[in-house]
Amino acid sequence: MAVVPIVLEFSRVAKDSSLSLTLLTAGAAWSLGEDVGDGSMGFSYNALTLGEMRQSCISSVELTDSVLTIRTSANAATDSFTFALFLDVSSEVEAVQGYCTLNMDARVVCHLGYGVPSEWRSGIFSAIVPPIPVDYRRIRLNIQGPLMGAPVSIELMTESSEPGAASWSFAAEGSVDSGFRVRAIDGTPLCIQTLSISERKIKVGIGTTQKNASDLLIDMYLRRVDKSSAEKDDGSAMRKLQRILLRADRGACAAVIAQVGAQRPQYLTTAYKCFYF
Amino acid sequence: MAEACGETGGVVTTDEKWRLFPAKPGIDIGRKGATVKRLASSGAADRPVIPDRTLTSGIADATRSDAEGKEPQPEDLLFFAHPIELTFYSLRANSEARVTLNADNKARWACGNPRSQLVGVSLLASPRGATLCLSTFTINHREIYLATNQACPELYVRLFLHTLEPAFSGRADLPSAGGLTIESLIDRTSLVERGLSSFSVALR
Repeated sequence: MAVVPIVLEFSRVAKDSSLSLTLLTAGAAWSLGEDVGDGSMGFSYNALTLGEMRQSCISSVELTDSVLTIRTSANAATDSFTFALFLDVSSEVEAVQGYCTLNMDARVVCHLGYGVPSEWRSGIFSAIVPPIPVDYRRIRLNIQGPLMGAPVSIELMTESSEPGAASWSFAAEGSVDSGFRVRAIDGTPLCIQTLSISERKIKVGIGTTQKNASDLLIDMYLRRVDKSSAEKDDGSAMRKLQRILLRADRGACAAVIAQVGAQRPQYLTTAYKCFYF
Repeated sequence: MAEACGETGGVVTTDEKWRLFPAKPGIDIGRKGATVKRLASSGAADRPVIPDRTLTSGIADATRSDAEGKEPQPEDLLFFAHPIELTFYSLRANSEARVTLNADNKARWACGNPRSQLVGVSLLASPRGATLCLSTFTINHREIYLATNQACPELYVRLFLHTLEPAFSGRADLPSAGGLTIESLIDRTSLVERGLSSFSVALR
């Protein structure tokens, strides 16, 4: 039984209508995720960015093993929203199938596990359940309110007591995935002047002086590596790196938010913040 | 009918409203400890009664984990699934409400029981059809978190609680002047105060 995180980005949804996503594959079910304390995203709505007072357009939502039903309200102020949830799949399931009941204009961009995003429209949908890479985790960095000034730098650190190290990575080894991606949140031109990535540090020079420029999203991977074999002889070979530390200098930008895997996002500050691998 | 389980079925009695059925013949259930052991013999008299669909208690599908050739894990196998309704009242605009289960009791929020078909987790604005004034919500196994973007007169969250215990407890963190009622099938508690309060609700 594997628990795969799934993110559904709905857009161009009609007012006062009922949308549903029904799973047809036996052995696959929507779920609230693994029971790992309260750090998990679970079933959530618009929770991938922090501090954003988004308008709501839904009037009710219901989740069962096989169906996700959303009703939009008649006086909806917006037509897009994001749900994050999990898919429980038994080990023999390699792909899931189902159908969406949506208005004809509506689109759902589905990010299943570490796979490439797929776009679903009204009708049958299907998605391959990608294997979960052991030593890679997806990280999403969200630079809010980008503004020209000192470059934004995001640093990665591991504790010296941990049995390994971590580095930035562009893609998980041996899997078809979405890799490294930089985009502006609403599809406007990117306002990046420079971008440099070293093993432990990302530096982004912002090239806009507009006060309300679109937020930047950087999707990439964290990779954990074991320490050299000489150091592993003391019996710690079985342990893997569990915690990483992240900090950011946000320059003139409003905030930098990081989300690792399916954990809840956190603001990055100049002090180190802890994330679990 | 339920006495058919006899010694091996253990917990099932006819006058008890809440029943916990073993997943399949030959599994013995301790009432609280959730200990599961396979019995060597499972005669016809030991067979548990198939629960009817009106019951709200349930257990996970043991046949599936058996098909994978794995030993079923006790904590996966046995629980009561209790429907719970939470009603949030008069939440202010741009405020947050949080309901967290205590970490020490082995209870978790869930989206149904194993026989659930169309009823699971639901969030509903009141009156029906009104916009759900939430900028974000998160429901995971331990926590329900809501953040409003407008004043929200009333909001229902219905979901299931999976536990073996006869009651569950937790904490609620409500915004100023906000209210919360937590209702199980047999018990209810109402919290109307600013800040952090703890609660306990009987289940059976």
